[in-house]
Amino acid sequence: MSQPILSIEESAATPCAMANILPCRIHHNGPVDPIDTFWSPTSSQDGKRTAYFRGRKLKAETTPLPESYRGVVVEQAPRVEAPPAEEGEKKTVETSSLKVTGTFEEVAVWGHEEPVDRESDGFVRGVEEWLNIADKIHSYGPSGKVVE
Amino acid sequence: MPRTRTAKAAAPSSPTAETPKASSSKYTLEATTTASPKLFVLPKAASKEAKIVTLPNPRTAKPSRYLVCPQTGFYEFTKIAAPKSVPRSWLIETTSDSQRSGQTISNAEFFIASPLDPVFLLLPSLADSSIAKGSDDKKKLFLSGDDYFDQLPTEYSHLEEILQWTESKTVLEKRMAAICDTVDAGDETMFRINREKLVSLCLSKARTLSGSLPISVEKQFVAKALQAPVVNQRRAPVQKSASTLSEAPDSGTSTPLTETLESQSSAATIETAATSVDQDTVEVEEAIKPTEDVVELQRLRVALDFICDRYISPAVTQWVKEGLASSNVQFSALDEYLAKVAELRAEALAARSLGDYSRKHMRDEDDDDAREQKKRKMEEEKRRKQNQSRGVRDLKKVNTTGMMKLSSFFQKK
Repeated sequence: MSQPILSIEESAATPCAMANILPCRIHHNGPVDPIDTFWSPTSSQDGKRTAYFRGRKLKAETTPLPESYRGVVVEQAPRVEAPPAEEGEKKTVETSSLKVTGTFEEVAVWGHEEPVDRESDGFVRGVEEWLNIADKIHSYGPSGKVVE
Repeated sequence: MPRTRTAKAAAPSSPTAETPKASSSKYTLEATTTASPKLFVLPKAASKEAKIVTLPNPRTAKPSRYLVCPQTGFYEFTKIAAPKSVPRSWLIETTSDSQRSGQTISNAEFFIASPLDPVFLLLPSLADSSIAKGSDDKKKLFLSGDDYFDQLPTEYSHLEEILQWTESKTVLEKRMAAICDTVDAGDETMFRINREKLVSLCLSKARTLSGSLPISVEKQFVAKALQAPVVNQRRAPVQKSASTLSEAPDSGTSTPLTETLESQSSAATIETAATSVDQDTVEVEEAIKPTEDVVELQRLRVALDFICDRYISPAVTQWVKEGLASSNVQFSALDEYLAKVAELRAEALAARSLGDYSRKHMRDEDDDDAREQKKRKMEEEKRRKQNQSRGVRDLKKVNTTGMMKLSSFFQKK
């Protein structure tokens, strides 16, 4: 399937978000307000966060994104119908945009009773290890030499 | 894995959203949004003009999504998600004007845009004709950058649009020059791939990567691959003597009995000693230890294999590996070491499986017959019980003491 070229649109007043990965499956996509009634995590001094969700104790350590990265929550804007091609042969490329609805700087991966094991959890490793590796592999200087 | 009640509780909530009348809940849940929001991790360096486009994947040539920023270059998307068997969902809290609101996304996945050296994107078309012609580099013609761009798969590809951005085109051509011989023809630069340059580029990338492999990779692919098997050959004979002894008493006369008892006990103590040794010295008693050079080479190889497996198509990988043989990096020390480890492993495996086999065989003869019989009996009983009608089963519980036997009614009077 051909996919459109997407641009990322961001307004100045994008709210800050906190991204939580809960250790359960929620069969719902969309707003769940009012959130205060069921989600009020507290953080202790050692940086661990505790929350009670449906009577279950959840704990998490937050994973900050690396310095040079930021997280965004995006929603696909409704597709704009491409204007019909005017010059007979030139094909138009579908374009669309993603609207940023929130930005986040850290991800909290929650576990039951205990924070997840940082060495084996895919999300934590994805953020910490993969970005580090990718930077190592793909960095190149203006001269065309790999930056050592 | 504790299965929470969430799944059950959430299921009725979505119909609630559609028919608010039936709901007795204090709050009504808004209907599920059709296009669920997605989470991206984007480089801060990418400018506002950065676009998400489709380009052919350098390894598979299938259309894949990339983020292209005219100023800072190319980024690839990596999807990070939990396996299907692990329940995970997003809960996003947003705070704006001290007002908290939340939304959930049932698929806990996010996409990370990490930098991508565009050299890999171009490699399929650059290396294609060189491989077809074999190693004869001389016959290969110099081609302009545009010719190479045209050779890339075009299916759903947005490359044409990207090439209209002059900055991106410059980046692509610059990266092309990094692995090519170039010739200036008028105002245009012509390119021809140079295998030595490509190999040295891959090697220097691998070298940077090997310097900082993540711990998990280091454990799995470096330490484990180089670990020689534990030397421990005492165990098998001990096992054997113990099991033969246990069979002896039946056939033996009275004199060997005491002997067997003695030796049995001694065998048992030896055995426990052997197992305890086995557990304690797993780390210590390795047959050979890798030298620092070998470890370093293994790291380099892991890094190089990773890069090739992810970004370079199998055919080109083959071509690069051939080029590697003539480069200044020699893996022979590593290969020698690995061959030795493999040999030791095969030996250890042979010894162990022999031990296991004899032990299992002996036990089988003892136990299995008895177990089989027991099982058969149980099954028979079960079948009999199943065939009985309920009435018969209930009557069994009736207290029949003092009652006449049924057969007494049929006796001649």
